[in-house]
Formats: sequence, structure tokens, C-alpha cells
Amino acid sequence: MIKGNFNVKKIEDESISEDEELEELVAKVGVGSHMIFRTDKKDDELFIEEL
Amino acid sequence: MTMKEISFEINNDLLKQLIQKKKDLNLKNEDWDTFFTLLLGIPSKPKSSKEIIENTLQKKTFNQYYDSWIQNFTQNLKYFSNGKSVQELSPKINPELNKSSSIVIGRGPSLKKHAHLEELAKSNFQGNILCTDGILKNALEAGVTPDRFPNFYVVTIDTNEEIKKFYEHKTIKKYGKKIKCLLSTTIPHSTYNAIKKSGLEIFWLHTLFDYNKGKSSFNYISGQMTKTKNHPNGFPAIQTGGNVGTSCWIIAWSILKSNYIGLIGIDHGYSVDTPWEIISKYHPLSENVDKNSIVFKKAYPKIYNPDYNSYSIQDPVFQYYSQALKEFIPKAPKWTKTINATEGGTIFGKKIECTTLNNFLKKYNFYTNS
Repeated sequence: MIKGNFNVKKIEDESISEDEELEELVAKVGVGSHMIFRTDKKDDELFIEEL
Repeated sequence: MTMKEISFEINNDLLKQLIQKKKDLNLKNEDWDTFFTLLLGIPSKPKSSKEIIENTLQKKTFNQYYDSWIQNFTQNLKYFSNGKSVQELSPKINPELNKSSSIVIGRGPSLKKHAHLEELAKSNFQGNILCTDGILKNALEAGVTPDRFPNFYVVTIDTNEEIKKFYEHKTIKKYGKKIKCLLSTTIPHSTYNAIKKSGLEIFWLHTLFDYNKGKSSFNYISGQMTKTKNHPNGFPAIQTGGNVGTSCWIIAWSILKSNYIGLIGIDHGYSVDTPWEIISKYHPLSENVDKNSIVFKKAYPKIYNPDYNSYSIQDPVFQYYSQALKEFIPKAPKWTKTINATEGGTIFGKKIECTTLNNFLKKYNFYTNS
């Protein structure tokens, strides 16, 4: 057996709450008119497609 | 962000396998956090306010509208099966060897501030006019009519029932037959009825939202359902960018093959002097929120446009729209150019020319081929 030394990053509580606060604020503004379409490949954004 | 160091015992063979797996995944130089996140399929946390805003609004918009999109599609099915495709509006030309122009009209505050509708109405612009539905009545009343500009289009992609009111006014009925109306197959049937009643010529398209999910996506299924004897290839499906203004921009080059696209009234933001009560009417704002907090400033930033030396305020919805449009413009084909002629707003940056409407009309007034 050997000792593995893994660095585990811990996100500060303050940072989490700031993100959550932003998410909460955004969630209250309502919705968009429609959705932005996202492909799995960011650089291959689809603009128009024959389905 | 802090690092907490922990140690634990691990079997030598397992460690070797983990190191090998890290290499196999091309993560040799990445930290163990990245490796385990990918290996275990843990969704990564949003890293920027841009991602938080987009992820939150994508989820909310999907949850709010998905059922309506399916129901509306079903109700509209027999009408668009016998209707026309937007493909009929696409000129059979090589856009790389051509020069044609479009102007997209949104309803942002710059439109009134700079009297752009009145300026356009007096011009001899020869290209396409693409009106977002919310500004159609004002445009017609200002003299931007299909009589002056024969290649006149209006676009609706929105599921909101209120949209039908945009088409019920007597001014719309006056010009209805001369206006080409491009509609998403997922709009409410009541909106379709209002448009039909006002006499507009209707052309159908699909709007993309879940096609990345493949054959199980509603986009795929609805696309197959649309392939009929009348439409063996179905209808084209477009990226909307989340709003009708960006949809118009997409249509201007992808369907109408415009080489030069001028934007007016596409601000994606508010004037800096707009009271919070007014901003809240467009997209609700919590009453008790601390407007001096860091989080609030991320959600409602003051944007400086260096090309016009102007400022705008954005809310999360306008951030969501403008981030996408500014990302899409540089990815459009090389033969098309986007010109922000709003004389302000938040659309500036890579491959976006900012100039006045007056300059646009002088420099890019090209005849349309459609």
C-alpha cells in the first residue's frame, strides 16, 4: 500500500452563497421569449437545420 | 477558493490504473479534481455569472413553455401542413457573389430616442425590412410600410398569448396582405388566427431548442411529423437566440441571404436613466433586493459601449439575449456582416460594425433579390 496525496479543492461557503444568490435573483425575473439552442460542440453552433 | 489537503491510502495497482486512465483521457496535465469530475460524470458547477444566468433562464424557459410548444404544434399541424415554408422566401443565389441588405427592427429605447423609424421611412432603402412583432404597428404608423419597402417581413416565435394583440390592430389589417409573416410552428393557435384574420401571408419554420437530444427530441419528432406530401423536406429550423430580434437576424442571412444586416431598436438593454419600476415591468425585479450588492450588479450591470461612448443597463434576460447574439455574430458566414445602427445599446464587439443609421443607409443600401 502507498499513500496517495490528492489535493481536494473546497469551494468557500461565501462563493457558493454568492452564486446561489445570483441564481435566485435571476430565477425571479421570469423567462425569455424562447430558448437559446446549444449544441454539445460549442464551436459548431447550429443556426439553421433541416430536421 | 481554498484547497484542503487530505491523504489516504490506496492500493499501488489502483493508483497506477488511475494515472494511466488520466493519461488515456488526455488529462495528464490536469489536476485530480478535473479527472474525478469527468470520470464520475459530476456536473460541473457554473463558473461565471454568464453561465449562471444562461443555465437558470434556459431551465426556467424550458419548464414554462415546453408543454405549450407541444400543444401549439399539434393545434397548428393541419394549418402548416397545407401552408408555405420559409424556404420559399430564400433566393436561389450564391451570397458570396452578391450584395443585398436587410434592416432588423427591434423595439429597444434607441428606436424612439434617435427617431430611427421616421428616418428609415424617409429613406430610399431598397433591401429587406424585418420587423419584430412587437414593433410592427409603430413601424407601419411611422411610415415604414410595405408600400414604401416591398420586401417587408414580420416574425413571431413567442408562445406568450399576448403576442396576438400585436396583430389585431386596424393598422395591421390595412397593410396585412402586403406583409410576409414568418411563424414558428409552436406559436399559440390564437396568434395564428389573429394573423390570418389580418390577412398577412404566412410562412412557417421550426425553432430549435432540444435537437441536441437526437431522435428523442421534440425538434426531431416534430420535424418528422412535418414531412408531408406538400413539404417532403419539412420546414427549416432556426436558432432563435432566445428572442425574436435575434431570430430576425438569423433569418436575414440564413433564409434571405443578406450580406449586410443593420440592427435598429436591438438594444438588449435599458437607458441608464430608466427607473427600476419601469425595468421591473419588463422583467420582474424583487422589491427588497439590495441594489448595491455585488450580486445585484452582476445581474443588472451597467454596460459601456465603447463604439458609441454610451451606457446601458441590462437585466438578466437582456444579458441572456445579448451574450448569445454577440457570440453568434462572429460565427455567421464570412459573406454576411452585421452592423449595429442603434447608436447605442449593448451589441458591440468582434465582427460587429457600429455606425449610425444614416451611414448604414448610405453605405449598405443594396437591392434585395428575393
